[in-house]
Formats: sequence, C-alpha cells, structure tokens
Amino acid sequence: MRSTHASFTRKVEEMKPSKSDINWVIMDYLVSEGYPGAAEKFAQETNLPGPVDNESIRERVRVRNAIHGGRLDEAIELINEIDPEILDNNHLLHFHLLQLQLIEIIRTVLAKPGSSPAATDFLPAIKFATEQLSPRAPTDPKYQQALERTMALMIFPPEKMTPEFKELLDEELRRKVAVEVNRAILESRGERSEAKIRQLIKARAWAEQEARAAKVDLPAYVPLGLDAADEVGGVDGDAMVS
Amino acid sequence: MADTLAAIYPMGSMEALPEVELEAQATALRMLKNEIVGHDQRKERQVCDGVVDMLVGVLSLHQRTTGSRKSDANGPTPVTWSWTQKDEVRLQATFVICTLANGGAAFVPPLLAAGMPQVLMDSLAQTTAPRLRTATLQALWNIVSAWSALQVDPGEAASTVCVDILTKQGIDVLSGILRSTLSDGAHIQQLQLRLIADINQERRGLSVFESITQGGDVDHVNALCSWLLLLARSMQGHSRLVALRLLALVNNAVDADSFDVGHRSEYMQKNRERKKQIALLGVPLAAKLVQMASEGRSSGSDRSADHDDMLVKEQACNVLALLVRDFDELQVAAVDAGAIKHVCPILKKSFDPVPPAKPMWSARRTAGNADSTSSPPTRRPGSQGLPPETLHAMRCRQGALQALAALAEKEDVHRKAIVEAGVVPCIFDSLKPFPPDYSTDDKRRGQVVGPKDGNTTAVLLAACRAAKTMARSVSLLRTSLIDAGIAKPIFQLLHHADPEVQLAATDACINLLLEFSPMREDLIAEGVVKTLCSQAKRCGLGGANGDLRLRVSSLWALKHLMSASPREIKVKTLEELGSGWLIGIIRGEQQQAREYVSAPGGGVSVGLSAPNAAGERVDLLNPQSSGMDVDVDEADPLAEEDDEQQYGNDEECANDEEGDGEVMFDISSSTHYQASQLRSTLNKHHHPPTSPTATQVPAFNSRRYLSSVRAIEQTPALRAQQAEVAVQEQALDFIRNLLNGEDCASMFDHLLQLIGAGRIFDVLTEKLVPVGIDPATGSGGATSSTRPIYGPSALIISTVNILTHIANALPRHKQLLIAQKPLLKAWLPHFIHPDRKVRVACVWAVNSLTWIDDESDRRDARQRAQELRACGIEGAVRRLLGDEDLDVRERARTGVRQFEQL
Repeated sequence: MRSTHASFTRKVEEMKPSKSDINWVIMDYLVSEGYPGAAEKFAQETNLPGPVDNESIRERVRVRNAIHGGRLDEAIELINEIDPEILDNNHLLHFHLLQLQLIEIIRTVLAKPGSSPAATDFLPAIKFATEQLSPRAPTDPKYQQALERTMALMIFPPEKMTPEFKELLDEELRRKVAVEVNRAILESRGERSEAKIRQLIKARAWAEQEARAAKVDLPAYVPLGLDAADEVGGVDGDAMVS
Repeated sequence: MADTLAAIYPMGSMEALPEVELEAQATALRMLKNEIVGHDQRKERQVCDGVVDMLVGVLSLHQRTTGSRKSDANGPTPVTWSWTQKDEVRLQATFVICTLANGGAAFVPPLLAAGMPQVLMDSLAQTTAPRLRTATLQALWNIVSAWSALQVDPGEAASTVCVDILTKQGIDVLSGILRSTLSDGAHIQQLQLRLIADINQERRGLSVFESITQGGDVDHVNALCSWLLLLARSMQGHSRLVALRLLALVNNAVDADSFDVGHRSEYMQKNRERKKQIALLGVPLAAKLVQMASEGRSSGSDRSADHDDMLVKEQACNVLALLVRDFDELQVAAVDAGAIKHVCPILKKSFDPVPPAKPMWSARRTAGNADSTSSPPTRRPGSQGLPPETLHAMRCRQGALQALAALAEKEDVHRKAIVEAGVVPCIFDSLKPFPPDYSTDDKRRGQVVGPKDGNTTAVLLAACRAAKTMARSVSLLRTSLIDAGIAKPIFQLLHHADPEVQLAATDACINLLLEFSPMREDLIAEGVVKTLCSQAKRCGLGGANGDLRLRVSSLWALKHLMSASPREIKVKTLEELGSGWLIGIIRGEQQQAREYVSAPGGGVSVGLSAPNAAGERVDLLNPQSSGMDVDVDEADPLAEEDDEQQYGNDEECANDEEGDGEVMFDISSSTHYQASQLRSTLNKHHHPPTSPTATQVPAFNSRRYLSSVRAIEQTPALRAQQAEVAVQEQALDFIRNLLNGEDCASMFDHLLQLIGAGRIFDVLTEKLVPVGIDPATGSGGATSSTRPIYGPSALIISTVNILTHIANALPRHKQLLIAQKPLLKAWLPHFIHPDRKVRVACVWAVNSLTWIDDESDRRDARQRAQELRACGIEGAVRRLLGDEDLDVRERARTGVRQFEQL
C-alpha cells in the first residue's frame, strides 16, 4: 500500500507541467470569466501576450456588473447592443433575465422601511409581469412555474418564506444568471463558452472515476489543490490510508 | 407606438439631419430594438404600425447620404474608418430588421413587399465596417431562413414570393466580402463566413463559392480545404457544421470542374490527397455531429443555447450528404464512422408526434385581421406557416433522407444496412404529400399540422432520391422495397403539381421499371405508360430553352420498360408516344435548334448533334487531339458485350446520374466523353498546335484552363444542347430496347410498317454523318473545314447498336440493311473512333451482319460480305485486329474469321 502511494506521489512529482502552460490556463480563465484588469496585469507579470480583444471582455464585464448590481434593464440593453440575436433566440435566458428584473422590482417594495407593503405598492411589479413575462408563461410549464413562484414573493412576508422562495431573493441567483449570460455571449461569438480550467477539472474528475472503476491503485483521496481545505484534506487523506 | 416611429423617422428631408437629430434617431431605434427583442407579439404590432417602410426609409436614405464613404466591396478594405452617427443609425435599424425576421415566416411577406433584401444588399455593398457588415449579413440570413420556412408551407403552395439576392451583383458583393474578410477580426470573419455559407445553402447554390474557386488551381483549393478542416475542428456545434458545409461546397465545386483533367497524374494525385484528408478528418466529424443530433446530446461541451442545437439537428444530415454525395470513398468513410446507425433514428424520430407549442398569451385582445386587407402589404404580416415543431421535424426528415440517398448511392452493403435499420417504411411514409386541401390556416380552427400529416415538397424530393438510390439494389427491389409498397406513392407523385417533384418521382421510377423489378406490373396496371408518355411529350413545349430533364427521365424509364416486355406493351407504348413524334425527337428538330446554337459560336454553324456549342470544331477521328478522352474510359465500368446486359449498362448510367438534376447528362458515361471532347478541343484552342504531336502535351495552365472550361460550360446554349443530346440518346435507346429480345424481327417489321424503311434508315444515317451535312447529297456547308465534325459518341453508339439489332433480325432485314449504301458510307469512319465503346459496337454490328442464319442464307451472307468489303468495312475490321483495346481486338478477330468462312 505504502509503496503504491509513494509511487503515485512520485509520479505526480515527476510530472512537471510547464510554467507557461499553467500561465496560459490562468490567462484563459481571466479572459473568459471577464477580468480584464487582472488579465492585463497578469500579462505584464508573466510576459504573456495580453488579451486580444479587451473591449469585448469589458463589454461582458459591464453586463455582469449590471446583473450583479440588480440593474437588469441595463443588462438587457447591453446584451442587445452586443448582439440582439442572443436574447431573441434564447427565450429561456431572456425569461431568466426578466424574472430577475421582476424580483428586483419586488425586492425594492419589500425593502421599503415601515409596515408591510400595501397591495398597490406592487402595481408596477404586476404591470411588468403582465407585459414582459406573462406572454411566454403558457408556452411551457417551466415558465409558468417560475412566474408563479416569483409572483408569490408578493404574498408572503419575507420572514415567513420557505427556502424555495427565499432562494429567489438570494443574490446568488444573480450570479447564476450572470454566468449563463456570459456563456451565451461567448457562444454567440463562436468562442469557447467555458474557461479551459473548468474543462480540465472535469476531465480530471472523469479520469479519477475511470481509474477507480478500473481498480487502479490510487490514494483514497487525491487533492485538487484549489483551496486550503483541500490541501489539509490531502495530507490527512494520506495519513488516514496508512 | 406611433410616437416611437415618428421619432425615428420624422417626415421631411433628412439630407441635412444635424448630428443631434441623428443621435435621437439612433436612440429611438435602439429603444425599438429593446422593445421587440424576444417579444414576437410586439414585432407583429410594429409591422402593422408600419415599421418596415420606416426602416427601408432610414436605410436607403443613409445609403444615399453616405455616398462619400462608399467603397467597392471587391477592393481592399480601407485600413481605418471612423464610426459615425450615421453608421450607428444604420446599425440599429439593421438590428431591428434582424429581430423582425427572426419572428418567422409571417414577417417575410411585408419585408419582401418593401424590397428589404435588395436594400440590405445595397447596404452591404456600401459598408466596410465589420459590425455593420455582420449585422447586415445576419439580417439577410434571417430573412432567407424565414423565407425557406414559408416555402415549405403546404398552404402556400402557390406562393409567389421569392427572395432573389443571389443576383450577379449580389454574388459579386458576397464574394468580395469573402475575399476581404481576412483583415477583420478572426471571430467576425468566422461569423461572416457562416452567414454567407448559410445564405447560400438555402439557395442550394454554389455560385459564390464557384466564383471563389474559379481561377484557383488545385494547390490553392487544397490549402483552402485544409484550412476549413482546421477551422471545423477548432469550432463547435453549428459553426463546426458550417465549416464542414463550406468544405463540401468547395470540394464539390472543384470536382465538378476537374473530372476531366484527371489524367494529369499530378493533378489527380493532389485531388486524391484532398479526398483522403476529407475522408479521415472531415467526414468523421460530420458523422459525429449527426450522432449528437441523433442522440439528442448537446453538440458543445456545456451549452446553454437550444437554438444552436436545433440548427445542428436540422442540418447535420444534410451536410453529411453534401460531403459524401458522388464520392464513394467518402460514403464508405461515413458509414465506417457510424453514419447509417445514427441517421436512421433521426428519420424514425421525425414521425413521432410532438406536442404543439401552446400559443403565447397577450394582455390585449388581438384586434383581429379585420382591417388587414385594407392596409398596404408592407404592414400586413402573413401566415405563420407550419408550426415550428412540425417544421423542425420536416427539416430533420428531409436531411436524414438526403443522407440515406447519398450513402446508398454506390454500395450495396450500405443499402442493406439501411434496410436492416428498418427505415424503409419511413421512406414510404415520406413519399406522401400533404392532402391537397391542407392549409396551415386550419390551426386557427384548432387543428394543428403534425409531423405525420404529410410531407413538405423538400421532403418529397429527398424521399424520391432515397427511393431511387435504394432501388439500385436488385435484391432490395425484389424484397423490402416491394414489401413496403413503394411503387404506389411514387406513381402518385408523378402527378404532383410541383415539376421538381414530378421529375424526382420519374427518376425514382426508372429503376422500378427494370425488367427484373417486381413492381413493373403494378406500375403498368396503374397506367404508368400513359403518364410517362404524356410527360415526355408535354415537356419542353414551354419555349426554346424549355426544361428537358423531365423528357429525358421519362424516356429513360420507358426505355427500361421496353426491354423484355410483352409485345402488346411495346406496341402500345410506341403508339402512345407516336412513331412520328419519336422520329422527330431523334432528329432533334434540327433546323430550329441549329439557329439557336450557332449564335454564340461566332458564326460557325454547328448542329445540335455536334458536341460543342461554342463553335469549336471537334474532330472525333483524330486520336491525337482526343488523347484526353481515352482515360475517361478507364474509369468507366461499362464494358457490356450484348444487349442483354445493355440495360445493366443503362442502370449503371442511372447509378452515375446525379440527384441534382442538371448534371444528370454530364455524368452518364457517354456524355462524359462528350464533355471531355469539348475540353480537349478547348485545350487545343488555347494552345495552337505547331505540329500534330504538339497538341498532345501542351504546357498546362490549369487555372486558365478551368476558368475557360467553366465559362463555356455555363452558357445556357451548351446546357440546352447537352439536354437535347440526352433526349436523343434516350429516344434512340428506346428503339434499341424495343428491338431487343425474341420478337426483334416482328418489332422491326412493325416499325417498318409504321415509319417506313426509307425514313428509318435516313434518320440512322443522319446520326452517323458529320454534322451539318445533308445525308442525301453528302454535301453541306457547315464549315469550311477540311475535317468533318461528328455527333457525340453516345448517339453514335446508340445508333450502331440499333444496326446490330436490325442485323440480328431475319435474313431479309439483314439484306435490307446492307442495301443502304449511304448508311454504310456514313458508318465507315466510326471504325476508328477514339472511343473504344464505339469501335466495339461497330464490330458487333458487322459480326451480326456476316452471321449465317441457316444454309439458305449462306449465299446472301456471302453477298453481304462482298458489299462490306466493297465499301471498306471489312478492311476497317481487319485493321482493328491491332487495336489497343483487348475487347475490340477479340471482337475483330471473330469478325475476320466470319469473313473468312464465307
């Protein structure tokens, strides 16, 4: 047992990926995830060529910031400025953005200080839902359900909401939609819609699974090395097997 | 809403719009765009409010005013340009058009009524800014794609709207863009390529790519193909598919061009390398996309866009078909990559019922179309066409059938695999059109057109092609195809309103009427003879350059029907066609046609039966000048020795024949020869010989050569003439098969009685003498040339084969033939024809003539031999003992022995 472990670790150590390959993967991540400033700095530090089309990265960053900031109308306009085909053809994505916008409208009402909001406070939200979201709702159950849930936010006071409704008010949802949008924009330009490193991680997980299925001798836990907990886990794992 | 429009397009002069107002205009357009993106109902309202006219106004106005920046799309792109407010206005207006056209078929009529495609084309010609150019191409593509959805609407069968952006000017603009895209950013370049390829695909056209490959030599093309392969491998999903389609188009465009230059080993080698590259790197990629479409997997690694996947599903099979059609090695590569396994489920699945999409909800009651008739056409959205789900199913079905037709082209193993996949019933189901009274308007009454209710015209065409290639397998003809009852729907399609469907159904009939086809009887019982005869006679009446394809196919099918049919059928068919009509067809209505053809030839009058409409002189009898032709024969699998196998031969022709229609005649073995002859002459023409041998190896300039060939081959006159030759060939072969078999003598007597010996032999002589010479007087002033010009070898082979049949009838028929002095004289030169198939046919006929039927015929036979000797034919046969072709030598040996035994 020990010896196979030792040989595995030795093999890992023998694999010396080139520094420039790693840098390339990092650069790729910064570009496709939309970090133009970091990408430029990184390029200077590593002597890599900077991102080719900085403006297109910045466009994506503006869209992302608008979504993260809850300014959905701005985000939609920015996307339509990049390429109106994106939202015109991807109805689901469009719906997600509009749903998020409806949530933001409701959020501002809910956030008003004072007693529970009056029914009329929600009128703008109802108007928005009627004009923007309702037409699509009957075409597919997934739209209908999403709309119904969002509308339910106007009924329950926030403190009595079940987790599935709370989820809608969670800002994590913005981040999720922002990722979808980023992908859609990249795809519309015929670019890879995902950073290379994500693919590498998936490939690694797949390889580990295959290796285990084939009963190759592996340590019980092979750390990914991406965050601190992992590092600790990795050392522990080694200890545990012994 | 009207306010928005007013803000965008204030009435009155805009020539001197100040910058501020331009900005307001751009802002208003941007608002409009944001208003309608993703909201189809709003698009419809905008159209009713007149947005289309307004957009045309904005675009054409700014085109006029931006004249100073006008640049030639063919010229080099200016390195710098500044983005002006006017450009911004145009960009936003174009975005709005993109979005409107995305709304589907309903938006096509108003956009076309406003002449939008032309406006966009003009815009394209005047801009070099990549963003604007991309958006304009996108708008064009969206319109064309929505239009193609409208085309398949069974309710719009009589739809008169058509998009014609591929005018001469349009092609120039698009190819100009293709040339200059390299200066743009890489992704814009790819996007533009994709759009142009897509627009072209909708027109099934090669035109733009032809103009790109034109003048390019083989190295250039190979480099282009390698680059496209690289591009395809680096891309994903629909973009990858588009790169592969481009690859197929380029490869096909070159190949259509080069089949004759094949004997140049270097050229051939390079072509082979390209094919190999495509087989190894391109075809598996296409098959993989088909597999993904078939398994419903997303084509990218982790995709969010359904739209892209939908396009891949609809087009993957089509692209595969386009790649492998006509190339058997690529077909094998595709099947090795699992193509059949993955195509068949797509076909089957296209018949699954789909839940129709529920309509969108609207807060306001739709006003109804009460006032729609009163509004101008640019404000009147049309029918939405087929429901999108049904349209999707139809497109998938059409693609799958197209792919099966291509895969079943050559290999029997492939056909068997297709049968084993259980899709023959699907082919049968794909042959049924929508019921005639079907209209998509029915859906307003609650009925929705589903995938099982019928088939669009495009599907019918693809299904006929699939049936045709599948029917090339004799064993399938006798088993699964008859079990599926494929004959009946095909017969019904012969009466379809669309001429293309009629033609495709006739092509499919050709193999079903073969002697060993069990469906022959059924089709005869259905009345196929009457239908085919009337098709053959009706077609081509439309005018000088009427479409003769239907006539060729109908005669072809009838020809098959003639072999080994009972006497009654033969007599009845002949009666239906009319012997007078048949003779007229064979003679080719020469007078009128000659005038038609001679015009482009620069005063040289060349008759229809000359191989060359361009006025080039052709000398079949000079092997030196036609050295190119002989190689074609080597690629030719046909070496049938008697008429029993002759329809095997014909079937081979059918095999070679291309589904596209217009290439049909080119590919059949015989016209191969004809085409190559044309080329060899051209070659000579460009390199005037200094000595007789110098013609053989001129310095080869492939670039110049190919473009000159293409230029000439594309003339309508030559096309018309090739069609005419094909008609004559089929008509002659009809007679030949009529005479074939047990009842040869009695059928010939029947012909003699109907037409008369004099007329029959006159016509046959006419086919053998040099063109432009009056067979009666032997003189004629076609050219001042000392060398005679003969008709295409296909016609000569057919004619000589008829002679063989006559010689195989009774002794008195032999005597009748030998008495035709002008005929024998006209025949003699063909014994040294450069085409070995002609020479073989000639010797066969002589052997039949010198054959001694019985003792009583011995004296006559001797006399016939003397006649043949006197007119030089015996000597000609003896000279063939040293022929370069083994088959010719063997026949000649038999012939000489027969002479000596007399």
